[in-house]
Amino acid sequence: MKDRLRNQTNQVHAGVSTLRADRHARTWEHLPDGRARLRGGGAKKGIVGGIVLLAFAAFWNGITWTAVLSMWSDDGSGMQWFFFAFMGIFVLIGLLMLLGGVSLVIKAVLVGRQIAAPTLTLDRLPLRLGERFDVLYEQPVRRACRIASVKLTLVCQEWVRYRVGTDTRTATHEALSVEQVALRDTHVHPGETITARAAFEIPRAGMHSFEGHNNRIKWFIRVHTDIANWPDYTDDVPIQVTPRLVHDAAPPTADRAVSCHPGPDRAAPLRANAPVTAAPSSAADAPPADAGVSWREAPRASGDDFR
Amino acid sequence: MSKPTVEILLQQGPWPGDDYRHAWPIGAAVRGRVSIHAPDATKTRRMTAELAWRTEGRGDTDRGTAASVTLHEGDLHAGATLARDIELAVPEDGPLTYDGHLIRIMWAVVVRIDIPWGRDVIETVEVAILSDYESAAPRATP
Repeated sequence: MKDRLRNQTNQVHAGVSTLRADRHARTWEHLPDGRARLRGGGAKKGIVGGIVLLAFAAFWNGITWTAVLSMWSDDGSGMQWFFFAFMGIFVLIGLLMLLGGVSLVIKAVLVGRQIAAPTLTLDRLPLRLGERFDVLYEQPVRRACRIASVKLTLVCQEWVRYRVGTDTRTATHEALSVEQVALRDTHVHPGETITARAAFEIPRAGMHSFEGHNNRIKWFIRVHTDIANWPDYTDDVPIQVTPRLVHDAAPPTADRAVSCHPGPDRAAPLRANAPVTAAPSSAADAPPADAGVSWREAPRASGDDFR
Repeated sequence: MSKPTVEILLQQGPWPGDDYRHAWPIGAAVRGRVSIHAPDATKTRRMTAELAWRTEGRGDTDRGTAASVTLHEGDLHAGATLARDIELAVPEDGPLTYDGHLIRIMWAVVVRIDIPWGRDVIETVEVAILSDYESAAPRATP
C-alpha cells in the first residue's frame, strides 16, 4: 500500500518526472519550471466509453433476444405470455443500454467536432495540504461556437467498496467541492484556444490522497465546458495531494481566494478519549531520563479492531 | 492459568494539551514503554509492538502496519515482568488519521503476545497521526 502511494507520488524517468493521473495511462508531465501539465482525455474518452457500453449491450441483447425468439417460434400457450412479460424487463434494459451507448458515442463525436482535448497546467504537483495553486485551462477550438461557461471544480471524494452477500458495491461521497466559473459567455472561432484560469486551495485540515484496496480518497479537478446549444464537455482530472503541510502559504489575494469548507477534524477521535490518569510513580514504571517528557497512561483502542 | 497482562505507556506527542497527548506528526516516532507481567509460566513465541492503521466505515476494511519491533522471543516464566522502551517510526506518506463521511482511518500501537495453540494477548492504544498542521495552531504558550 505504501509502495503504491509512493509510486503514484513520484515516478521519475530520466529527467522527465511524471505522475499517474488515472488508469487510462494519462500522465502528468512535470515541466522544468516546476509546473505540471496534463492533456485531457478529450472526446476519445467518451467514444471508448460508448463502445464499451455498446459491446456489453450487444452481449446482453444477444442472450435475451435469443431466448425470446426461441420461445416465439414455439407453439403458444399460457405460460409463454408469462415468459414474455418476464423477459420484457431484460429486453427493455438491453434496449436502454443500446440507446445509452449510441448517445455516448454521438455526444462524444459532436463534442469532438467543436473542441479538441484540453490541457491543464498546475503550479506544481503533488500538492500539499494548505497549498494554493493556479489552474490554467486551454482547449483548442475546431468550429466557431459560443462557450456559455467553463467551470473548474476542485473535488475531494471518498470512495468505498463493500460486499453485501455475493454483490460488490461502491459508494462515493464528495467531502469537498469548490466550483469556479473560469469563463463565461464567450464566442470562439476555429484555431482559437479557450483559455481560462482558476485558483484553488487545498484545505489545511483536509485529507490527502489515499488509495487503499476498498477505501480511497480521491482528489480531482472536474472540468465542465458548456457549449451553447451543443453537448457539453466534461472530464475529471485526478490530482495527487500529499499529507505534508505547506508552511510558506501566502495570504490569499482578494480576487483569487476560494473559500473551502474545512475538512473533517482529524483530532476528533482524541477528544473522545478517557480522562488522563496520573503519571506512573513506581521505580519499575519510571520513564527514561528524557528531560521534560511527560508519560501518560493511554486510552485503549476499541475492542478487537486491530486483531 | 492467568494470561500475561500488558500495559502500554506512551510519551506525550510533540504538541501540548490533552487533545494532542497521543498525536504525532508524519515522519516522527511514537515513543513509549511496554510492560508485560506473566502471573504464571506462559509459552509464547514472541511479543511484538506495532504501529498499525485500519479503516472503518461503509467500505470493507483495509489495514496496514507501518512499523514493528520485537520485544521478546521465547517463553515467560512465572512472575516474570518485562519492560521495554519502544520507538515506532511514523511513515512520511501517512495515511493521516481521518474521520470522514464514509471512511475513518484509525491508528493504534498494538502489542501482541503470540501464544502457540492459544488466543493471542493483544493490547491496543489508539493514537492519531496528523500532518504538521497542528504544530502551527494550538501550541500552548510557554
